[in-house]
Amino acid sequence: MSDAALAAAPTDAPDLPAGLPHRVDAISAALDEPSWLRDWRQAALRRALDTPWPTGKEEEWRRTPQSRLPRRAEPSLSALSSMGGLGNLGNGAVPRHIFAPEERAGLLHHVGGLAVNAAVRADLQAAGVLLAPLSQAAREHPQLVQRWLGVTHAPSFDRYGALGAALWTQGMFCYIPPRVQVDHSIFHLTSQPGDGSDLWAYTLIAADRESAVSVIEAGAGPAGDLRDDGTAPFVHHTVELASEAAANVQFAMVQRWSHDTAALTTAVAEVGRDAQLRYNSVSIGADLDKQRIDLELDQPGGHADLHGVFAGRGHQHIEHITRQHHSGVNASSELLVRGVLTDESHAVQYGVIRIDPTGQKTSAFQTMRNLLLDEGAGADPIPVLEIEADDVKCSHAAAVGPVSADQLFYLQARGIPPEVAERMVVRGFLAEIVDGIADPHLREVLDELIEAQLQIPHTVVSE
Amino acid sequence: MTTTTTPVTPRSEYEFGFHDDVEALVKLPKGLSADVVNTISDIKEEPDWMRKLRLKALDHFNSRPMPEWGGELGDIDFNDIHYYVRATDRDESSWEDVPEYIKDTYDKLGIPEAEKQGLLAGVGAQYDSEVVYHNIREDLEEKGVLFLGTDQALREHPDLVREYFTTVIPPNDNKFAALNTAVWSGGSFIYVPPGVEVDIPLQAYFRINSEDMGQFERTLIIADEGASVHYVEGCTAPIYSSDSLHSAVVEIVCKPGSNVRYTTIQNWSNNVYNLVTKRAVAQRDAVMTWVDGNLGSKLTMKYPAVYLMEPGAHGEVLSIASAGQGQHQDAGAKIVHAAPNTTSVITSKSLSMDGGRSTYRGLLKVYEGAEHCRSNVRCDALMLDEHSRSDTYPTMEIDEKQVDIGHEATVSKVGEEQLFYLMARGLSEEEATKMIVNGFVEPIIKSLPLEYAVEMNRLIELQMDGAIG
Repeated sequence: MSDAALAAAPTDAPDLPAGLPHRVDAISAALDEPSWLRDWRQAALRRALDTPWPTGKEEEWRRTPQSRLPRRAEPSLSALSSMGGLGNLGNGAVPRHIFAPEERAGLLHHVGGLAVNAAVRADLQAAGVLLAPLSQAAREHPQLVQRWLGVTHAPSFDRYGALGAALWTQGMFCYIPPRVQVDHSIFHLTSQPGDGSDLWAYTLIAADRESAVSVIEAGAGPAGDLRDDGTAPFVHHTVELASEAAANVQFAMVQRWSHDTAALTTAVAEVGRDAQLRYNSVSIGADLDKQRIDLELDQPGGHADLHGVFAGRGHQHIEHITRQHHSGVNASSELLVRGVLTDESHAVQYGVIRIDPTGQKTSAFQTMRNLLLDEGAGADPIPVLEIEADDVKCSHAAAVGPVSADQLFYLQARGIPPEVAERMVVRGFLAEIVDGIADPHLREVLDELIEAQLQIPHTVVSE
Repeated sequence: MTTTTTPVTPRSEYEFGFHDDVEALVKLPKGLSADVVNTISDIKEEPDWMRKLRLKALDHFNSRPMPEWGGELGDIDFNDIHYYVRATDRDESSWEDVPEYIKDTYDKLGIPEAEKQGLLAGVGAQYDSEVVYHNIREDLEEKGVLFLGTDQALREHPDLVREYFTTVIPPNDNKFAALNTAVWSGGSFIYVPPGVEVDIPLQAYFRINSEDMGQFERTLIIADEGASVHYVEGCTAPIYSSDSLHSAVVEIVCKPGSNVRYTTIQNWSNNVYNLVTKRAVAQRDAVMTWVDGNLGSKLTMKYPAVYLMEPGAHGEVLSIASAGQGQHQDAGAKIVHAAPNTTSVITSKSLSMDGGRSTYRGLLKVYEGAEHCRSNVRCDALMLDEHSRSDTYPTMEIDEKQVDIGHEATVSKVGEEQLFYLMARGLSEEEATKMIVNGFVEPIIKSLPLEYAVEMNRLIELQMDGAIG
């Protein structure tokens, strides 16, 4: 962007920190990005400056405790300035990831915003599979990144979405060429060091036609990482998933940030013609976890699954704002959210099925089920239908309730102590989603994570 | 209200579209002001507390923004409405005494045929702003059942009205409840003494006759301990080229062990904004049922509510909506479980055809401590063509663990296999479609008294004529 253009554009909004355009330039320079990417960030920033913060009156925001969500636009520049070394981050503070299967197609590991490891199996690399930090990919494969970056509307979702596109310091790009079938999962791991810094992350995954890939993202941070001013660290994660004709994309996001973190996800999946896409969302950590996930089905014949599973404890607030948008014919989608809530935790599911007049022969379904294990827990499931085509099959179901007394009685009648019986019912309740996860490693890890979160002794249940 | 430039398209064969050319006895000039409110209060010779309440509500109405959700309300011009129109100066209890032109109207609508045939325990009729006729069976009157116009009730039983008025729906509940509280006129007042069971329905009939008219009836029903009553209301209006506003408030108090059923068959003409607040509180072991049929109007926004305040109370909403050309039925239900061991059922069936839009909008709320609540919400929508729209906005807020809450909804079109099956048996496509629609709405229709069930089916069929094929 020229200096003249910069001067003409709005450079400040009263409710955002001053000097953001310069900060964006600084980020782009520190990451050694090509100028087109810097301009792209600046364009996103202008949208952010022009867009107000959510008022809390929007359907998508009215159930969010916004006081627990910092309104900050502070990318962690400290991490960028210390680029090149792990030593000063203090390895002791970096949470150990339990995702490290031997059999994997690739691994990208970010620690405190820095890429410390990026590797794709040699045969896949030879086939053209790319896995790299987004800025690096933009330097080395500008045409590919330009073809995909911003194809979804995630960067203009709202102010957070626009800020996410302007301010990210941790980027991930994964590209699968036509007809390449990746046999094992690609892992992207993010570890936050616990210095209270915010994280702005951007993930872009593009599966070209007839390709197949499974990508698992996992983010973790240590406990006790409140900032000096006592506010929560903030994580904003933008996810763009693009699938071309007949591609098969399995994506999983495993969120286990520290229990102080406020986490916001802005994700959009574009489903290509006859493509298959599954988005698995797993929520374990964070104080506030709000995920906005859109499925865009504008091509004929696509199918998308959005499966959410969560386990809440303490005062956690776990929110899924989803949209299944059908404008292509003959496509289908299914939302399945199942969660268990203990202590004073609270869940919100606001899910919209939107079918445009052009979306004939759509099948779209929603199921939201919330299991409440403690008196203080609560849930607001809201499955919304907006339908303008008549030749469709749509249904939704939502439920909230405790562990069924009949099931408990049945198990206890067979000599199982009540506590164990409850845990078994919880496992069975989540099984529909956990068992549906394609990656065997993730399935296994997930059981452990959920049981640890709900403080269910693993050994007792599995006996 | 603003005169629309596009002509109103009458729903096919809207048979109540006639109007009587009547010089109103009193017709306040258009517009809303403290003067208008004072004048209404003067005409009615009301006690001072009611006048103050009206003026307070007017302030609230003026300061409250228009709702930004629901239907398209932007065309309503509050300064282009007559807030009070009175055609006669009496509320008659003998049908013969009702002025001829009004009697004609109701004769055309089939009232009081039902009363003559002994199908009703009492009848009330409101024409524009005022109740013109009220009658109740003598044996019920002897048992102490009150069924009269709300204005008359305020004159004859001021303490009873004051005890309950605005206790269920406060004046500042929402913009349209505030409007109603400021300018209300007419409506029914019912009091059923302890233990009295009114075995056949009481009926009220609401008719807007004047152009650019706002009807703001106010209904208050109190069922004392162990009492039971079924109240039925019907609504029609002529077709004018400009829009009318109907904004009613209905408050119901169900005392312990009582049973109240409130049935509405709303068949306003296609140029009426129907923005209504209806709410009941149910005390211990009381049963409150709303049967809400929305067929007419340009835009309806109406979500009958039951607040289950004490253990054992049961609330039920049966909602049926049919939206044809130019119509938006934004209807639904609201149930609040505020006490343990309360139960509720919401059943909604909606039809969209000929470009119409049906919306189910509901709230199910369970407060912490309201243990062992059970609730089931079921919404089904049927779309008859590709130009129409169907929405479902069910909100659930559950803050208690020991509950059993379920919600299900479906949207579908008339099944091709069902059509094929019926047509293979010699039915035309239109007949077959009607049969399928009848089957679809049946669970609600069969909860209506027989004569209303017949009427409702007929209205749905009328609406479908021309919309199919």
